[in-house]
Amino acid sequence: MEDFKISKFGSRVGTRADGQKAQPEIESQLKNMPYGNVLVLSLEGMEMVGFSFADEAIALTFQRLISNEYGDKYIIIKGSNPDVLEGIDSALQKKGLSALVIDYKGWKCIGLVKLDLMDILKIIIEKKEISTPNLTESLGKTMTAQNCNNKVMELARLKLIKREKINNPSGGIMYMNKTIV
Amino acid sequence: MITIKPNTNELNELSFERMMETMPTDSACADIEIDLKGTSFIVPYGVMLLTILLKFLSQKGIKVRLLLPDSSDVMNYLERMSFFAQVEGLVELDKDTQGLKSNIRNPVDSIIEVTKIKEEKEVMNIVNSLVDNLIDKHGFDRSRINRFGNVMCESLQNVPQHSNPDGTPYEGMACVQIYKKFFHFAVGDSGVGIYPSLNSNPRIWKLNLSEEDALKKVMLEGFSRFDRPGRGEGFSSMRLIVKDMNGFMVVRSGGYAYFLGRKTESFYPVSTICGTQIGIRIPKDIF
Repeated sequence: MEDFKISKFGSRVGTRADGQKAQPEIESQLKNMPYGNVLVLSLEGMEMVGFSFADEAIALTFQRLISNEYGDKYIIIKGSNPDVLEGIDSALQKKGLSALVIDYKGWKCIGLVKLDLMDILKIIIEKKEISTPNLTESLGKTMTAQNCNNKVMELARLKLIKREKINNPSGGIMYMNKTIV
Repeated sequence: MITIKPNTNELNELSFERMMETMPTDSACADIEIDLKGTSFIVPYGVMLLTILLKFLSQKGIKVRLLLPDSSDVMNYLERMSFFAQVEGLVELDKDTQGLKSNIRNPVDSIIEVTKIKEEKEVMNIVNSLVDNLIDKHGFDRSRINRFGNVMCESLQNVPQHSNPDGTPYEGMACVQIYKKFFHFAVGDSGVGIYPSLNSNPRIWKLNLSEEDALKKVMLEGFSRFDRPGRGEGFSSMRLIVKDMNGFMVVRSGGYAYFLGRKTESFYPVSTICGTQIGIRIPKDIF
């Protein structure tokens, strides 16, 4: 994991112009980071992140991330102040995006939270890594294998989990779903 | 000469509108006298509206004579708010205001005078200065006022972002006052206003929206002259924060205004002046 401190732009950030200046810096670190890594956008020391800044600097980067412009890379947000997260949450929602936030209490999802994905995301984060067949099994009879697979694919598309193709010991291939937090 | 005056001894969001209703719409060439002699109380939003009205009338080439308040407290207040500096050259005053400067030598922490906004890069300096002042000098809760900082930031940056899409000269301004029970924040500009700004986007222009509908779309649906998702959310995010803080908000642009109260939200026609003006009142106990 690599850290990017938003506080390098000041403890209060809010304008669209400042967001436009910050975005290429975040993007540059993301591009230079090895594949498979997670960039942690740290809100440590932040008192305010305004909606317009968040839209330009953070939501735009997430949008490019999920359209695979950066390849196999991930972003999570580190911060616990709900007032600071409010603008980011709102900016992500407006673009139909989601992000994982970690703090000393654990993790949560902000932005457009698809509730039907949360149970699966919770299991993947708790187990650290789990294959799709095992995930389906751990859900009991609540979900079909196909349904579970579709939801895992959606989580991977949103870059909320990593998905790795591995050889199935009993033949063929299967996917291992890994947490990014 | 046409004389207009507020219908009460206060100049606030309501009495300003009542005063404007008495101004004939066909007064393009007539001189106007604004009578504030009986005014004994002015809120920051009132100062800002009056300032922008004077700029608007001056732009239209209308001569204005201002009958200043008899109340020395209100005169000192206007001086502290930098009102006379803002309207210098735009209006004929009925009395000399030079002596007021010596009355207000000691700064008053509860007022942050009219501050001009010219460029977007100034916005965060203004927000930081306002927020730090409210934390350090008034003991406002850091987290709550930082949250309100979003409202300040969005409203202030709207001035350089949306006031002059066609290059029309504009002036933006903001002011703050802390009362015993309320915190007032006012921001406004003398630019083109919301309706022409939205209509500068051909896609929106084709929708043939009325001025009222344009304001509704901006306040409730996050419409913007920019097509990109995420643009235009400033007003709606401000509205949600003010609502959450049990506050009041007035957004006045062109011939329509939006009002947000504790239990009501409404849109209503007002007399047209230039630009967009926002007045916000938040109960002080929130902070």
